[in-house]
Amino acid sequence: MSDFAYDNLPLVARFVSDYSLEVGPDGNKRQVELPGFIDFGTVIEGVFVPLERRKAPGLLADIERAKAANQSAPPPVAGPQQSGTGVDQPPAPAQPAAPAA
Amino acid sequence: MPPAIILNTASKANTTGGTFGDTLSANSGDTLAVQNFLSGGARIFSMWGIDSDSIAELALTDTRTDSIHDPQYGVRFNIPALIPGGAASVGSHYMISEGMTIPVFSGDTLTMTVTTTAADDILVSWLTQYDDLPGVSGSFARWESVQALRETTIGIRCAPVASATAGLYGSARAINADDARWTGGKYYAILGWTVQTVCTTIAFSGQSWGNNKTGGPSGALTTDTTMYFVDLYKQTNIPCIPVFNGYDAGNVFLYAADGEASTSPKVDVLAYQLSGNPTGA
Repeated sequence: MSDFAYDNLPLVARFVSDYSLEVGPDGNKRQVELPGFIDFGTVIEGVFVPLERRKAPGLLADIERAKAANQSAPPPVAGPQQSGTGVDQPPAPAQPAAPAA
Repeated sequence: MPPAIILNTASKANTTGGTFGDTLSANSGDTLAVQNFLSGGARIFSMWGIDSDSIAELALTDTRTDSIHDPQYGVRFNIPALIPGGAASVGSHYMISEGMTIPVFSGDTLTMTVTTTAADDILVSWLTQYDDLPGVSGSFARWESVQALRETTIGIRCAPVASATAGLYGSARAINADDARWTGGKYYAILGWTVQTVCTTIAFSGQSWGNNKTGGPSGALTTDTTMYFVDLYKQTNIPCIPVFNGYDAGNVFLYAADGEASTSPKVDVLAYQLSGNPTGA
């Protein structure tokens, strides 16, 4: 029997919204959405158990940076499968284009 | 002539990274310059800060060797920004507190260079104590005077939001913007504050205090700020508990600055309502 009451728990993250009340041009207060938080946690029998709260703006900026970096990087060249010797085979050289007829 | 304690903050968003590769700039309304004074001395006696994503190191230098030994790296401070709880969840770490001081000299200027990881955001706040600073006779009281005049205790919500640019102060938030229970004609002494969300720096300013900022940290390790200004008085023995009249609440402002953008710490300000002016003015 396992020593754990629960195992194979998922690691999940959820957004938690935040807002500020600001005075609008008409003098009335209005709700302004803020970036809020991302709560990292797990779920135990349907109950979300937060493990860490992180402010969202920095993480969202990092995600955008990562997306931009991935888009600007050259697409990966598909190589052969691992040979099993611990050394990758170099990718096959590109075939020269067929001469125009 | 009056003593003074002044809060300043310097920051940089989206750092280049590398070994002391970035230099911090003073936030709007703040300065890296030491105020001019004629008598007495001045010293940095409290400093804190945070890096948004990574460990960081600060080199504090100026031009006077009696202050910082040498201008190469001066005084170096680590910022273990991932402890406890990981990036973007710590708020602030102290670099100077509880007795250590760095003397600074009239008219000098601080330089803060930092080692960071590229694309980090970093800010540093510090308190400078002046023995005799002409022209800023703010309303600051001693704890004994505040205790003697206490009528009641009040906690007031004020919700400043940090700038959308990490490290900078957000808009000034009047201390009566979210909870207007201050009574006109009554004097209030601000003892400290509590927050819902950790935040690197909470600042107060107002005409009552010479339009200089005062304040402190609200990081994960420094959230015990209910009696922050009282503790500051006990540490320095100079009158530093901010006092204002309820009529002037619309001219008393709070600011938040954080290593993350748009942090809303939702401050509850703790204050004593007083039966008179504890500063004797």
